[in-house]
Amino acid sequence: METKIERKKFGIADFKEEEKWLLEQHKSGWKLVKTNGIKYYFEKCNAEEWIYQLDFNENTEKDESYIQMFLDYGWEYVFHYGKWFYFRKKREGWDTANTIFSDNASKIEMYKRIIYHLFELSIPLFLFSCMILYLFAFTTIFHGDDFLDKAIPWAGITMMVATSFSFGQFLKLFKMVFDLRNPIQ
Amino acid sequence: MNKKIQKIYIPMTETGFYILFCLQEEMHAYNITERVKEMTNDEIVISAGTMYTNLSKMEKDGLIQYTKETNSRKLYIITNLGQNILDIELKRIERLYKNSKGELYNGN
Repeated sequence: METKIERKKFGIADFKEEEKWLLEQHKSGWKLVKTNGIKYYFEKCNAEEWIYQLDFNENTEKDESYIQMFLDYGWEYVFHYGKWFYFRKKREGWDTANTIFSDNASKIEMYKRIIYHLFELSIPLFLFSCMILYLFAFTTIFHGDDFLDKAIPWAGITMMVATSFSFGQFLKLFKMVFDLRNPIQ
Repeated sequence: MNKKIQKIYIPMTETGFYILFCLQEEMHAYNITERVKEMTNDEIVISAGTMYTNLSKMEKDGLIQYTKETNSRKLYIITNLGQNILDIELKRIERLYKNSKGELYNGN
């Protein structure tokens, strides 16, 4: 069985691009086996048009009925990475069969779940990095010579940069919600 | 009647309405989609993710309850609260329909 590995980084708000990329890969004869967020593992398959859909599901306890539901609707369960569940299905005739969300309200609910999750991750990190940098800039803390005194301000800067990246993802998610609520004629 | 629940669910989304309406009978997710397809001449086809989101939310808010699980499929049924909400929504739809036909709504 021929396999390949591709390195690709998708932000938490980039799942639509990820779905599109996986569809293109499958069209070229490579189906997704699994990913760890950085490396994507593919297996050779028939080059066909398969729709990939990602769901963000917060119920971390093993819920077999969740996956069974998707199977009932004709989806193949690929695997899950954290809260992200990967499903795929060969393209069918009508529109709503090819998406896991058939109305805007449920799409918006999904985007909101991701926003809350991102918020929970990045806000504490952001506040913590602010505190470190404040202490470094305005006090004598971290101005010593030992390793921690040197390392902690750099860690603070790194955290600050990481949370700035999150800010961009927030904006993207808010825009996605806004666009669904205000479709351009 | 919980005012907050009413505010959230009235008026209902089309999807929400059909799901709650179907769950007056005990059934599982895919049954509901099939029943709704039948009722609406295939015009409304509820997808998996939408169904899961709605069922989870309605269960959490007490409008439906989980009865049993067979072959990894959860069956649900409407609760008293759910029936009350549905009845309010049905009256609203009746009013809308009567008015749309040029009739005055007299509260019945």
